[in-house]
Amino acid sequence: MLEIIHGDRPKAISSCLDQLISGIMSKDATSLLGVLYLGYPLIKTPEGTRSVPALLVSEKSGAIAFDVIPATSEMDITEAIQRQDNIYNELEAKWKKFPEILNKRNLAFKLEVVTFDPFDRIQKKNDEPFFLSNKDQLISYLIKQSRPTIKKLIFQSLKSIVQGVSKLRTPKIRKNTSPLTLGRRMKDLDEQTAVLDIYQNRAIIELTDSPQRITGLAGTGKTVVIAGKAAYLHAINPDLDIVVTFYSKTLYQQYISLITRLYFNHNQDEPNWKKIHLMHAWGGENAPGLYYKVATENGCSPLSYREAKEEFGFKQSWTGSCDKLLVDLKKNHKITQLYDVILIDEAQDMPPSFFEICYQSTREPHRVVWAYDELQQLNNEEILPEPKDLFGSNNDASPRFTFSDSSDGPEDDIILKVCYRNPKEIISTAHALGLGVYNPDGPFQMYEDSDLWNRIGYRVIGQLKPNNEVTLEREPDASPKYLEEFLSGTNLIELKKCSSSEEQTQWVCEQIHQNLTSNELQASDILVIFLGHPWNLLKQMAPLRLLLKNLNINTHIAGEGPAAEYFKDDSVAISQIYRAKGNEAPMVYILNAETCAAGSELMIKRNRLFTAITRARGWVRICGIGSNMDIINSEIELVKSNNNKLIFRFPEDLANRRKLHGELSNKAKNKRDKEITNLKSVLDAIDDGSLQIDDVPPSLLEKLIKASRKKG
Amino acid sequence: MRQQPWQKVQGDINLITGWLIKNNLTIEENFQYKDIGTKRIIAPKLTSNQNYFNVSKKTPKYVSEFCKIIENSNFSFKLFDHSIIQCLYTFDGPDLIKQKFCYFEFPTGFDDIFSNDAPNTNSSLSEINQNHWGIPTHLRIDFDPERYDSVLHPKTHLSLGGNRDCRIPTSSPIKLIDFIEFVVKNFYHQHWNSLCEFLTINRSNFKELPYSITIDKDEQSLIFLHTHQ
Repeated sequence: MLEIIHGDRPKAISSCLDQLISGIMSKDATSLLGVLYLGYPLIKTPEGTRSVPALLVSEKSGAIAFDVIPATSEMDITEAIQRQDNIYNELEAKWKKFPEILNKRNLAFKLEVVTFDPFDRIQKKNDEPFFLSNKDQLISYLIKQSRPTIKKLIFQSLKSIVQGVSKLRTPKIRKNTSPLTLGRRMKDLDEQTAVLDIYQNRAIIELTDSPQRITGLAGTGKTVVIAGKAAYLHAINPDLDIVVTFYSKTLYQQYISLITRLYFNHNQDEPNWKKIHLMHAWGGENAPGLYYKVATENGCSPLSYREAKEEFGFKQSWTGSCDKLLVDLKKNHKITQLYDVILIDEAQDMPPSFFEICYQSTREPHRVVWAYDELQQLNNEEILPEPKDLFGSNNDASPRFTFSDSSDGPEDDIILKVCYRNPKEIISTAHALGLGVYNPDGPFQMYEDSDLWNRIGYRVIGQLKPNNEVTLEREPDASPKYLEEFLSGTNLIELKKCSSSEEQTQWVCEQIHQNLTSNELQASDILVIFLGHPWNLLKQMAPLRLLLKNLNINTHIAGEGPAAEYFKDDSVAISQIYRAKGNEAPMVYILNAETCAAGSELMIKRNRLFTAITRARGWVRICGIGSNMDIINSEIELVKSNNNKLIFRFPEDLANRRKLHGELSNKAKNKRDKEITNLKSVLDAIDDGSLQIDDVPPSLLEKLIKASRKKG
Repeated sequence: MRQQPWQKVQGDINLITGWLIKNNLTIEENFQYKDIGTKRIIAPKLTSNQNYFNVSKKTPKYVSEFCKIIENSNFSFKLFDHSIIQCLYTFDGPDLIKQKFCYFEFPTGFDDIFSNDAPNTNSSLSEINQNHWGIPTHLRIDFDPERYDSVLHPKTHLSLGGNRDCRIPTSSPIKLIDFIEFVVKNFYHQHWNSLCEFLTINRSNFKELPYSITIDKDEQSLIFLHTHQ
């Protein structure tokens, strides 16, 4: 099959391109396997950077680049040939830097450049072989020219090089690794994951004249796609004001490095950071932020985090601020349109009002691109409203945006299906625990939309309706095969139940020491996530930091404070869960997982566990204290025994369950804490003899015994 | 084998790091030991993470200085409230020829954006901020005999704030542990109260250099800080 990726499409050649596509896609030419890029890649010309109108890369035909002559062209043959030569030389020079697609000093496949001139604008002296005037000529050119087939490996490499990502991740330097150690496996893995898949590539290049959604689970490459999009758009049109915005400040550094690399691939130059606006979603006086900028530019007063927290409370501070700004903006008759494109990462953390603010702040055609993972919301139990409800409505109450029905052209709803970060076993376990699939009382949270499950790479067997038996299974192509291959034979998930905090610290310390001394991992390969309350992070992690320090292993509390690096060379990162978002590591230790096993607000607790587990690119060690760990253990064991499938009866009282396990109101929390204090004082009184146990009515005692038996 | 003076300092830094971690005071430590010619320098390991901040002409000087330090990782300890401590030692052979300890308080009112995506990792952070006037402080104790100029540039001196002329004479260089103690006592009083350990530090564990008295007679006739034992 031939995939088409719709990139930059200058208006002048739009109709020519349609003819070109229909020729290439015609029945006679369907035996072509590969990818047709429109408006891609970018090359340097004497007039500046421009895109190659079309490039066909296929196993059968090699690489054929098309120049396209618009209907109004005044070009003569000399100029047209110069353009061909320019495309050829630029592409050849670009590709010759990659030994994997060379045969000695030449490209290991045939590169051709032809000019498609459907309006016959170019006066040709005689039959120029590289000029095609119509569809028939095009088809016969494609079919009849005999070309050597490209070797599969070279074809794969060529695809990745065309996509401009072969140097996306510089693999860590790992010296002298021995076969089968964890370090060697990571080395092999790093060398594989630099290649973007077709979904990601499409998401990078395709841009609609409307908002666009990119959906994908953690680890499907959303951040790479957003960075790639910014780099590509900046390269084809350096005048565009492009915003990249996100909520976790630890993403800042990742974006700087990704955009710089990806832009360099196109243009061998540094991006102009005055046109790519890398902004936190909120911002403030000292740090660029979208909310702050839009507010001040429109004469509205932005709220600082502290003010917002006072006005709306911690949980609602962000939503409250955006809602208020939107109301204020609407009072203005005209909202200043500051940007051409706004790319939103972590869109699941943004309230709907933020989307409308973005929409209003972009120039026509309101290119707001949002990448999101609906299963990764740490605080909210509500998922984002339907896309049509995100951007507000027109005067006639119709939604400003709906997905297009057309299947031609660039897509406005792109799904990143393949999860590159986590092996199947880890992702299924994370989902099982996150949703409580193997909770003895059934799941406490579930998504009813089978389309959503398909979108994130699951096959749904059975109907997602109350009381139905349902099986969710990872699609075979939703995880790359090499991931399982390189990790096979190692213990991906391990649970460690400890009897005390000291035992947990000791065990983790020994394991980390072993990772560094015998498993050939590096300190920066290791991430320790503390699942207890962030307030206690420093105190509770101090013993581990000290023990490791005594073994000369450096640690740091990751991502705290402005401009803090999350991972540092020669230092193990220790993080609270909120800061771990957006980051990944080969080896993840989750500490105090018992805090997320049971009790009230399970949806939020399990969401944290889900996020923590899905940070692992290779191995995850779930540690915790006491009997609560048995709950997690039994759920993990069920995932294993069901061969990583999630099998459950769909709950009939989903709404109730969500309420029961959702976030407690402050009042309810206070009540809970008060009851615990009451119970404690009763038990203390029995302990110290001020309350004689014989004075307690036997019925009450029985109740207490029953309740504690139930807990086991 | 006899320990080199810089090795003694290294040993002390390790001890101090341990204490700071144990008392939940530091979240990141950053030291590098490097040789330049005959000199051995102990200083923060710099990285480049520029353009993180939106520093403009309107930004107060202190804040832009602080931003630069953070962007370049030019700190030895990052404290729990994101304030920083810098330590710099220069040895020429066995001799200590320069020593600088700095404390930069985290600019108050500045933390808004940086803490809004996650709860604080230390519950006392908000209390500290609440009791603050909003004028951050910078202080430095320098030992720099090369630039000695009696009274005007004492061999060892305390500088306060950003005023370059402020050089309050001190009677001798001080040990890192004393500087840390000084900072914690005067800027983290609540912590200080709960840090019994600090009060009972067994100084004999520290091998730091025996510092000599550096103050001259004219300087002694002025107000000065008595720092020698």
